[in-house]
Amino acid sequence: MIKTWNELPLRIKVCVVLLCVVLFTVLFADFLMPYDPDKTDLLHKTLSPAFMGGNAEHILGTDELGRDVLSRVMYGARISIGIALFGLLIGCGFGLILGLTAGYFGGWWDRVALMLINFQQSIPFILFVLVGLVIFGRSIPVLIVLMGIARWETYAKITRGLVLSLKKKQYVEAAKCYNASPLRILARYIFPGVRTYLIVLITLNFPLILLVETSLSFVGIGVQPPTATLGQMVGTGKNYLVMAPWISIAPAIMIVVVAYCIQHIGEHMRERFDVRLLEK
Amino acid sequence: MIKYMVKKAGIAVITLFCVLVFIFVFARLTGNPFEIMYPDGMAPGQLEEYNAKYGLDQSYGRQFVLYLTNAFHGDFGDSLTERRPVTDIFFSRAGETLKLGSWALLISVTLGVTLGILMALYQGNILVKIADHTMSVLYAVPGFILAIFLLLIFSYSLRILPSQGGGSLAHYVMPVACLCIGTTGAIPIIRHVRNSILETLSQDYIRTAVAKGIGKKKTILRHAFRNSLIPILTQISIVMVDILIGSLIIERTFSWPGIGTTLVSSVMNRDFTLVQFSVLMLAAVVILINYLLDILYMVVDPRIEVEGSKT
Amino acid sequence: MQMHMGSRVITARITALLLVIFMVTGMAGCNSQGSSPSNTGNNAEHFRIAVQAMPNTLDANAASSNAGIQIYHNIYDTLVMRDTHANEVKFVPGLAESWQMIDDLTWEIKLRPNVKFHNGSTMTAEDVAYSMNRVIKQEDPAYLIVHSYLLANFDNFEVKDDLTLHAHTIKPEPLFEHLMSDSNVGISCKAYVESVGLDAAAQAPVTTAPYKVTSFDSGQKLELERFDEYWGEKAPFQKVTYTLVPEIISRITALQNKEADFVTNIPPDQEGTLAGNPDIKLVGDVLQMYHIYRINMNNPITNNADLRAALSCAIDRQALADSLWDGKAEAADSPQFSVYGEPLFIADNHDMQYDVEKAKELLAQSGYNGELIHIYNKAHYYTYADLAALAVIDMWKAIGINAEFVELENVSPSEDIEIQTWSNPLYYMDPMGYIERAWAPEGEVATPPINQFVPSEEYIKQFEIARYNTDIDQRVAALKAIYKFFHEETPFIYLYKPYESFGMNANVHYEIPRNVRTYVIGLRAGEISFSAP
Repeated sequence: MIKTWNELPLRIKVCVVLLCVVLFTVLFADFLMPYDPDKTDLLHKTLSPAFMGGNAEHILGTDELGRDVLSRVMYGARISIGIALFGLLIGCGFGLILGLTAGYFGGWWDRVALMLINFQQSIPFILFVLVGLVIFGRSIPVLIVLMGIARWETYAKITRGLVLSLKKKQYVEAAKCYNASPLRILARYIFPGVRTYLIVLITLNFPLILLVETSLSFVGIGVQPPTATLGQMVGTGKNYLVMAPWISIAPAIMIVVVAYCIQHIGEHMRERFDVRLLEK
Repeated sequence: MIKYMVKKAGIAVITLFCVLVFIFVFARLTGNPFEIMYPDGMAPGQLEEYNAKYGLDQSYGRQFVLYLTNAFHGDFGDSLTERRPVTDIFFSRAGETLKLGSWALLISVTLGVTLGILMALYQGNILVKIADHTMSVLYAVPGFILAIFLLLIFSYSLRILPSQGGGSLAHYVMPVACLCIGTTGAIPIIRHVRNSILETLSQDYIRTAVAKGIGKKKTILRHAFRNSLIPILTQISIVMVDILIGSLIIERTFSWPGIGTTLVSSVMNRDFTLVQFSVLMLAAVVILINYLLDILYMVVDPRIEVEGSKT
Repeated sequence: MQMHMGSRVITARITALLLVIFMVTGMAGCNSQGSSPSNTGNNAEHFRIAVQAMPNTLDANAASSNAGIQIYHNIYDTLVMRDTHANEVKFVPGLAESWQMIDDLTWEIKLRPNVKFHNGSTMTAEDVAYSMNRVIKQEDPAYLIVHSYLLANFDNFEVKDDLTLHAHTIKPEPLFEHLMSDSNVGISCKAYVESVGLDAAAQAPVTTAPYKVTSFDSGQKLELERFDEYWGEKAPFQKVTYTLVPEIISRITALQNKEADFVTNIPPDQEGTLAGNPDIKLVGDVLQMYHIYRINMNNPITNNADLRAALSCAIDRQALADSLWDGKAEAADSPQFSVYGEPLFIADNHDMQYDVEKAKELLAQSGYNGELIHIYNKAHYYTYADLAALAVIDMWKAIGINAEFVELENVSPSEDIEIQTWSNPLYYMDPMGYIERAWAPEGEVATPPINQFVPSEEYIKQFEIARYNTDIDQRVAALKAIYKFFHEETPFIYLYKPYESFGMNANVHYEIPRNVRTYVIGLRAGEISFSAP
């Protein structure tokens, strides 16, 4: 699984480097941001970025309330990526546990799990998120949980399928003969077989979740202002596209870059690991 | 076979019922629609009168029973905000979305399958490589960004395409284009088709066929594509559902009066009756699609286990 | 092999069938009845308006929202009408030819003869009585609001003969003309409503107005057509379409593209987008409403009058108007509107002033201990309310007040809310036009569930005089007492009158109608014209 750095294609290397830069910015945003992202300055509204005629104080200009765009993009990236990441982990964790247990133990629990999966699949994702937001409010924790809950059935289904096929392998049967506890079997034999596939799945799904969060914020039903998320910045910025396009363009570029890089890496991993899986 | 179909149908109906109960309860947990209707405040006593008129002051159980009895007669209630039958509202708006969605689906599938096959056939070609890169970038662009930039360029600056409403063919161009590019459109289909074909091509029996002299192109069109049909169909069903989500953004930006905006505003307005019916219908569509897919799997390849790992 | 071939054929056939279904639906979509045709040739034929919001109902008695008022003025006639060009409010005969108070509690109304409804029938006193009485009797929960601020003082409208009515009031009614000239008490056709029911009539009303409704979909558009048998001067346009376009960028693009001739709700900072385009002009004005903060007099923190007064004095309203609104908004200086005309407008009242020293003094007097105050705002509702709140919080910080901004989808009334954003529009051109609606002693703010306004005994007494007394000098004296109460108790903080523009084709001749509620779009004869270039 560990590939040496030099063997990776150039495209992937670029993506990884870019992602590291973004990750670094996101983690240390508090120290890197030149201004407070929420501080308004109504006397300096919609200033142009430094390279478009504005002054060097605001490299990416200011938005319609005088807030520094660069700081907001940094901070917004943290929030958007954070929501997507944690949501993904929650969904994956939940789906993993359900899929593992359902696939391994089978019986009535499996049937219940299948019904749950079926049920979850039938409700349009967007509706689920919407209703959840309206009931529980539009705070960040709520959004994270909703992002997670809304997609768990994908992981559950796939995990369950994998477990079903792995269950029949000889080494699992052998372990059962030796009275190994289910937990041990799950942990030592089944989980590793599932793990790599899941990692690929997470990587591939991350951009999708990110895009969903940004889309919701764009329409105005995601995280509420003045907290900045990338989608929301593009959303409010769209009203100023003619006069001050940088307000939308900067966060949009950030979204595209992150989504593109992660996707690429995910595709690359899928190509590598899928081959392996097929060979098993 | 029949037994399988009937069993699946039963599960589908039960799922639909569960969805109905779920949305019935949760919609009511979101608040009161009349408070929303009067953001500047209501007259004293007005809220009580509204609640009484629409039965919202009764227990959930009673409300649900009443709802079901009416539903069996085809009466799904009136929208609480628009005061006309929800069936009218839903079907007219869904019709609008369908107009966009069906064109988008048609174009996405046609383009997707064709381009997917072509890209698998001519894998080493430089044009294909460029197309691949472009697709990667486009896939990462969220639909709403694409929508507003198209609007800006073609409507505002160039003024060659109308910016809102629907009616003439020109009105369809931008919204459909937005739906076809990006995560809801042709690109995942292209990718899936190409990958499936390439995978199948590398399998032993295909190589045998090629070695026998049948010719690569014919082989692909005959065997590889057919065997990739299932994952392709799965992908198409995913795209169909995603187009609904995509249409939400598109409809908003291009002022297209479809089901996406209606859905969002009905949830925001706590319009219970409309939300219930919309969710019921949409869930029914999704369940139906999955059901048909299951049947299709059975028909196309009976080797697939009935309750097994369908990955 | 046999099996595979068979299943392949089946799959192919199913796919083909699906494709055909989609194509047919798609074709059907293309052939649908078109939307607004592009406007070439004689422009006075079809006028296209793009609006930000559309009402849910066309029953004027059922809604007093801003979205509705854009439309009702043009599809409902009232008994009394106002001259929309006059500098001061002037009443003219509408559906009623004359009206007079025949005793303390009765007004006699003589109707105009031979007025036709859109369905051809003739208007009689029965229709007027029906339209009014259904609101008075509150036949639908939706009527309660209109009842509360326009017809609360009416007991019943009695038909005397085909063209004569007696309106019986509960107390003497000095504001009769103001109330009877509001579109929300427009007249509907009794026979029609009784035959199709309230809900259906609300989607397709039949009235006497210069325009009749030909189609309505509240999520999409409204289509009107000129009524050729109108009793007064005929409408300028043969056809009018209101289209719902909630996004500002889409409205602006529609105007630029000539897809719309007239668009609503252009805030000041978007004016730059349209500047420099010779085909477009902006017509704007200060709106007859104040954006306000409603303070909860029953909340444990804000139940202190000195604290409330301090909050008010610490706000530099002119600075808000200058920075947020490019100076176009009008900073509030007293709780009244100059449109009342004298003597009802008290010219020397300037009691809303920015005075930091006084604010600090009042704050010290109040015994404020740094408690956190929240400003609650309904998201995306009042233009720039969020920005104003953030700026105000900074101003308060400067004198030592701790405050935070909370934005919600919807703000439900609660005892825990200290301050909430709100607006006080002027419903009719008299001081009671906003005082009664918002600050009546038994009104919505003073009673549950809101329960935030605590009027004093004196206030209740003065309100009664200001509202019902027929002698104008007594009313003025009572109003002065009311303003004194507002100044001492600070139940609300007026910020400014906001400014908004309409964008329109440069060939449209339009003046924002006067003497009517804010947001009315005037499409009647004499209010607008659109000459072909």
